[in-house]
Amino acid sequence: MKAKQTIMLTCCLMLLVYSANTIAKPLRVVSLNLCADQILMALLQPEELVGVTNLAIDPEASYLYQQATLFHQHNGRIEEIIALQPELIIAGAFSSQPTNQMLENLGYRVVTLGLPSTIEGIFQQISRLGELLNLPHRSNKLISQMKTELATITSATEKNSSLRAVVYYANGFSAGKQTIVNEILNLAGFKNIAAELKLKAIAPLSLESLLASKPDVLLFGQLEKNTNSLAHQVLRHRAIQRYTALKHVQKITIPERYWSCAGPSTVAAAAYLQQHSRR
Amino acid sequence: MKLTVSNINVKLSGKSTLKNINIEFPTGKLIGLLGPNGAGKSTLIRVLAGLQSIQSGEVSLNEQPLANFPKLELAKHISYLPQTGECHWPMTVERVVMLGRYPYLDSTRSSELNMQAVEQAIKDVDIQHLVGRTVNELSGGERARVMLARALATQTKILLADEPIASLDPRHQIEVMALLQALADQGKTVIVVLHELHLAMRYCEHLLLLDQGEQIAIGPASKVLTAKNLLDVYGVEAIFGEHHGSPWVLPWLDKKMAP
Amino acid sequence: MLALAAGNTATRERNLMLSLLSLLFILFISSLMVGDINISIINLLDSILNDRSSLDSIIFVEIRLPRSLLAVLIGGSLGLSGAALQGMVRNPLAEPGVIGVSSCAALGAVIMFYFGLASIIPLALPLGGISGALLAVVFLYLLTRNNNSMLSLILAGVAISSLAAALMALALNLSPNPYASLEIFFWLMGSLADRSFEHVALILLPTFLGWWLMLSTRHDLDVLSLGEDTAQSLGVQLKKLNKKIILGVALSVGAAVSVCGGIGFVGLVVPHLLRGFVGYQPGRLLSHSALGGAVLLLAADISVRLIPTQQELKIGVVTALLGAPLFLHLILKSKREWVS
Repeated sequence: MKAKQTIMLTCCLMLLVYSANTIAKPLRVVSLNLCADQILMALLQPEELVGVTNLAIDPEASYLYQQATLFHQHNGRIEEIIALQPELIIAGAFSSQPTNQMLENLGYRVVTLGLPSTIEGIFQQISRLGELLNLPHRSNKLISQMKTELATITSATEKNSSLRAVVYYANGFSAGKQTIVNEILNLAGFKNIAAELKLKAIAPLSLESLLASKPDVLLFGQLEKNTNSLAHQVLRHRAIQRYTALKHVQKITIPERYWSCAGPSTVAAAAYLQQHSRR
Repeated sequence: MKLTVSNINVKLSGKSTLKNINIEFPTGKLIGLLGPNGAGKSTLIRVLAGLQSIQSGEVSLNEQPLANFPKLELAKHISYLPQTGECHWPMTVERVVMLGRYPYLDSTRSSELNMQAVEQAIKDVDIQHLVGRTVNELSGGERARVMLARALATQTKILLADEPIASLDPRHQIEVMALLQALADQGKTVIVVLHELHLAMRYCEHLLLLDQGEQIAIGPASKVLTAKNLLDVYGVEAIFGEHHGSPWVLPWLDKKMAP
Repeated sequence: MLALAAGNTATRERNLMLSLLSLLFILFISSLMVGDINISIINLLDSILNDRSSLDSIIFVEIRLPRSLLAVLIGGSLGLSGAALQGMVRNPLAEPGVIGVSSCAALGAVIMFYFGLASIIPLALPLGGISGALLAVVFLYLLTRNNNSMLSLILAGVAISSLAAALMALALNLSPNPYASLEIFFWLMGSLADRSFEHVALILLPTFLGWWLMLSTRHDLDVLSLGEDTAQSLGVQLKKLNKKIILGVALSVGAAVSVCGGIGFVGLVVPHLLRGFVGYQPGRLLSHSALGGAVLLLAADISVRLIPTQQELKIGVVTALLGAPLFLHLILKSKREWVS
């Protein structure tokens, strides 16, 4: 009797240990893309996310720049990535193709994320990541957090629907339909003029057309540091200055990091815009 | 308008090109500057034109050092005609001749005077038939005459010409020399570098012979173009003769060319 | 007979001048009317007369007017300096773009602009362009002093342009602003888009100074056709002449490039086309080239606004498409000169 009990106990213990190993053992994930960084940092711990891009700590580009200091940053070169012993590598649609290809050839598992342009698309991406990581409860939690925030925003936007806004990027580009910026503007309750003008994706918008569309709100991305470039010079053109003085047009500058990626920052961006616009 | 050089020495690329030249050029005469290649004739002419700097000595115009004259002022007194009559752009003959009027462009009333001077110069050199033609299309001889007209258009008291007849046919050589003599008769001082010894003898009242930077002889043709000088300086025999009262000289060398 | 010939040529020149002036006027007005938006002239006049701002007057005054003015100023500078350089080195291939003056000016401007100096002192921008241009012209002058063969001119230009472009790319990559390295195309090809009155104000003084210096050499350049010795004997002060042209080109082209990038071939095409009308005299060509340059650049700028590309074409592309074939033609036409 005693021997049978010992064997059963041992088997139970072994089963426990075995299941603990398979269930509790975290995947080592490395991110090759700034936007992937954002979502992954919201879902994972530093022991799990073993590598983020070095853009992640840049306050100009990364929304979660403060949080990123807790994670290890890599410089995107293959040797460094391999040294981190990743089990899953998340890359972006536009990250270096040769690098991705080589990692796959070396036998690593590389998953490429797309660029969502709607809030639904973002939620889908977060869910997919949750599945890949075997952590669906965490992704669901993140999604519901974002949905709650979103509800507070949309409830306050009923009155704004008449305000026409346009985004003006360096070099005279604007964000038209099928961009995350378009989605952010809609969430914050603005009408996107670029979408009105039937521009798709990030497209050029001439200074004349910009002004002639008679925007109520002008949105500029803000770079903290040195803005000496021709691209940025056009944003300070006298014509724009005179126009804003003329029509009491509202200028909102939003730090680039809020909308450089589609992800958790998107909801924060919509909240920011709503806060900063006059009613 | 008297040109004088006193004890001038000129060095070019370290080589002594003119040594202790001392000359008072008589006014109103046609003066020939002779010498073998490399004697320093072109250098001397350039010194007189104010284009070549001298290591020692003095060049003066009317007893005033040449350097004291402002460039534009000097140009109204001295005309210079270089050996190579280049024109970098395909301009017409009359435009080229008009360039000679540059020193007078700033004075008022100039355009009529300029036209007259240009017309006179063209007539003197006998190139009326070339008016309207492009200078670069002309033959070497025709171009040389156009350049001479340009130099005459400035209407200076002194004319310095470096081998002006080298590319002309015999008839035009004689005509140009006759023209230069006529100009000297009118009171101009004309100093001409040339190799044509027979023409030098016939037309120049005064000759200067240089050899290796030194002045060998100066004076009338009878004194300069002697058989001894021609042998020493040019290394040729001289055959003398006379035609209608004018003496001529013919350089001669009995030599067979090596095969 | 001489008077008749002179009379004919004077009339031809005068006709050319009048045609260029009228063309300039027409194109200037057209340039003010061309754009993305149709401006109502009535609204415009109403706003200007009543000293009120309206959308139309803002677009007109702040966007189109500076652009058109810059086309005239810069086109004039490029045409004039092309003619002046050709007169100085007595070679029809000399031109600020070809011989590397524009690239060096762009380098100077790039250093001032991207490293912050121009934001502290706005005048640093044209000064940077002028310094760069000055270096290039002086170098060119020293090189061609004793030999103005086509070969040495072209080779010098290639060397200087390549070096300047490489240094520019380096400077742009070292710049703290992430957009900088993408902007090299602007500096190499040039553009008049999105310029404002600030830019016009920056280049006004050096441009007019440069024009004055170059135009003052017109008689000297004519005489220089006969060679340096003859010119000097006629009273031309060579050192002063060269200094005026070097400085004049550096000031006008340097300033122009610093605000609009390196627009090439204008100074090659315009003098070439007009030379025959002024009897090939380099001095008489100067003022006509200035006008012709302004006309050409206005026409090119109008065309880039009308050509339906997604992003507006850089103006240097148009001038290069016109000018590079001409450049090749000029080289092939005088093959013989390769030997000199």
